[in-house]
Amino acid sequence: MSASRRLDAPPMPARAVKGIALTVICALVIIPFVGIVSTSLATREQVNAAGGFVLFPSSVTWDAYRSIFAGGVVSQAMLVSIGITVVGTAVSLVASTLLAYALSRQGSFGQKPMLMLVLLTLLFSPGMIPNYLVVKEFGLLDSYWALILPTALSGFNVIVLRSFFMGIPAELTDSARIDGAGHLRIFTNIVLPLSKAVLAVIGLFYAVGYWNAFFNALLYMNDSGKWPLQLVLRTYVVNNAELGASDLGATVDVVPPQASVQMAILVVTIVPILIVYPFLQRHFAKGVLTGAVKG
Amino acid sequence: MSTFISRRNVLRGGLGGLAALAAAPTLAGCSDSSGAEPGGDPSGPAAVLPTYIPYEGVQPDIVGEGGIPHVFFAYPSDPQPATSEKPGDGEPVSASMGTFAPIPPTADRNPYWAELNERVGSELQLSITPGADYPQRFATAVAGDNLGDIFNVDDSLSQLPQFLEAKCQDLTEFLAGDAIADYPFLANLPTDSWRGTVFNGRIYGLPVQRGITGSQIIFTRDDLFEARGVDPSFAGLDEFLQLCRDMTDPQGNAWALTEIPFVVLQSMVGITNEWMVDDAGAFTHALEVPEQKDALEFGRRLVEEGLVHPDGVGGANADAKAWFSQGSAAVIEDTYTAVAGFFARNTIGDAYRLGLQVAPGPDGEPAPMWQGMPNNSFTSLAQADPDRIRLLLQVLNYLAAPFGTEEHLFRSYGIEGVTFEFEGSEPVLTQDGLAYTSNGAFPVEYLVDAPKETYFPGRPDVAQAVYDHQAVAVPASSLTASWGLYSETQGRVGGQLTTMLNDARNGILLGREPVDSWDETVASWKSGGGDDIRAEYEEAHAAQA
Repeated sequence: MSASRRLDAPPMPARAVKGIALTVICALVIIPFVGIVSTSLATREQVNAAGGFVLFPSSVTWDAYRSIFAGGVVSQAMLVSIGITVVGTAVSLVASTLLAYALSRQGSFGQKPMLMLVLLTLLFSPGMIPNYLVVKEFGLLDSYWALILPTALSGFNVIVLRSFFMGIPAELTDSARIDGAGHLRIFTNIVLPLSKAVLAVIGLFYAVGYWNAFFNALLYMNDSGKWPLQLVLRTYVVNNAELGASDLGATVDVVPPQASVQMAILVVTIVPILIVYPFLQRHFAKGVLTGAVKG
Repeated sequence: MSTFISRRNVLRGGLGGLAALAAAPTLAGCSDSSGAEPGGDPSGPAAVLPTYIPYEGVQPDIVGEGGIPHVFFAYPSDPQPATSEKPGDGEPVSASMGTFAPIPPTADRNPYWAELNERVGSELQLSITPGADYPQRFATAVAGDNLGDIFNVDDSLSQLPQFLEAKCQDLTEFLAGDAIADYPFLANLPTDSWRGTVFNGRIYGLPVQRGITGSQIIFTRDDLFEARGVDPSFAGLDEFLQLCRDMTDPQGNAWALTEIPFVVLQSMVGITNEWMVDDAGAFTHALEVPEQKDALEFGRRLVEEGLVHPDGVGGANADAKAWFSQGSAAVIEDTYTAVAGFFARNTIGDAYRLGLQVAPGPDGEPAPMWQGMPNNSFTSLAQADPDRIRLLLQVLNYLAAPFGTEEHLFRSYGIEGVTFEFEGSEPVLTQDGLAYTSNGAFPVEYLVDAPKETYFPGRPDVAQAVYDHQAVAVPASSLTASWGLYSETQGRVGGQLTTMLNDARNGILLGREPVDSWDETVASWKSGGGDDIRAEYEEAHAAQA
């Protein structure tokens, strides 16, 4: 067997070891997901028999999903979360790119003090009560904007964007300027089209942040009809109360097991992100690395 | 003594009920003063406590005495209204509370909430928060002065009496003594519960009452015991150890205990409660008495011999219930409120048999059961003019309507045909009812609640068995001496001390530290704040006396 042949095709034992290793690694990742889906579809008998985590359900029931969608709370919260995520991500991207562009232009007005302020937010964060008082004083309690504006700008994301913008060759912007373009035209016609990768990844950061956020809603939203999905689902997972089984006088015709309900909630929570992620994945590594190693 | 429940022993349970009913007054007569006699002369600030006026419009199947809840074998037929007019005035009433259930739909999509608003006569604007997050929510709402008209109080708030005095309505003039007669359903709440709402000699809240239902006892899977030919009852620690050995079979994935039943173990070695007070007013904590090391030694032995589920030491209680339900453990320490859940998790039908064991004390008599806290929490009102306060109290009075009234049926189960259906005489929630109503996810019970009665829909044998257990265990029980007293140090460092104690206790139980190391733990507890807590309790106790 020649050396070049060995390079093309590793010997069988090595391939077998690699295959086993990859299978084990894949199983470690996939089995929990299979278990989550399976448990969410399992009956109480199966959950009891399996000790709480069912891998292969012998029969399927949708009781857990019916339970969490009963009353329309989860459906409404899902709409709220989608709205917050879409609008919030758009607001955050607009604000972050504008700020990052300004900070990337040497000599722009107030650039250094503004940069210091952004960096300061990476080192210090305001406490829960000061945040609450600010939101209250702005009259944003029970407003969806309370879930967007306090977290609209991430210092980390602004710095990543700024680094990326600074990496764009100055010749491009200089030639545009010679052709008479102002900052707005340079920003929209040159900088943004060249920044699709980093915009995709920063957009994903913001979107995932808005999708997963629950604490601001906990503090600022008295009206539970305006709660996002994560906060509604938190009441199922953290409270850990098995409805119909926790009170002396409660009874109901069908009560799904708590483990199934919690796993159904996990499925509902992660499916939207799983759907979006593949479309952005190709930009992900490129965008992060490009922004991270420069500046 | 063992009390067991199966679907088949309803008739036997009924006969037992008559016997227990006859015996109850005698047993109640043996109760010590801390047996939570509603309306009895409490050791608290009697001058401001509301007069206890029991509601007698609904007759229970067994009258509970000496702190034992009334027993209903079935929901009273044809419940009658106990009120004649709406308590509200059309103006919204805002309220905030935590919840330990999923969030209910809002009033525009919840026919129960909409109907509740209609019946109250005011729109109930509820700010609901997951229970685990309520302290943070409460702290920010306090800072922002945004608590609403009525709010469940986070009693871990530091400087609690000062907060109550500064922000909350002093309810003494509205509720003290016979003044509470204006609110007959609030007057139906036991005196011990009101003691938990008095601070600096003034009433600052309304109790979210639980009575003794939170007391920890031993439950056994009697069907599993029968299968192994083992008697689930025990007359002392030695017998308990032996039955645990007999019920443990690791090869068969079976252990005797879900967790170490440490509260019951402490009572079995003779410790009467977490805090004890002597005639001179000196307080002693359970961890300080010599018997504590006996309980630790026994618990350590249970672990050493492999009689506890491997994940049981320090494990989550939800898992323990699952192990008990699936049969991988046959003994669990839990509260009376857990009974309904045990049956809800049953997947083996009529074969399932639940036993409630009366633990014996060192002298062979029933051990001194540690009573659960009389209240889940308490609710305060924002300061307002007297007319507004009276209106809010009337609303809360309506929400505390007793078991068996038409108001209670509606509050608990909602609207017939929409949120519940009658199966015979028993109201049974529908799936929508589970999401909409107070007996499901709607957390209005955390504003105020009627006295908890013993009632298991469709399971009169279960109600009988719970009563039979309580008839023996409650007279020997007591409430912690710190109930109704406030310690600023406890509020400030109590959580840290509890964590330190739990870590040290688990270290001993797991065999990592010798039992004698407990002496150092006690010394650390004393110097870390325990002595200050004791002194503050003693001072408060003396002030009340």
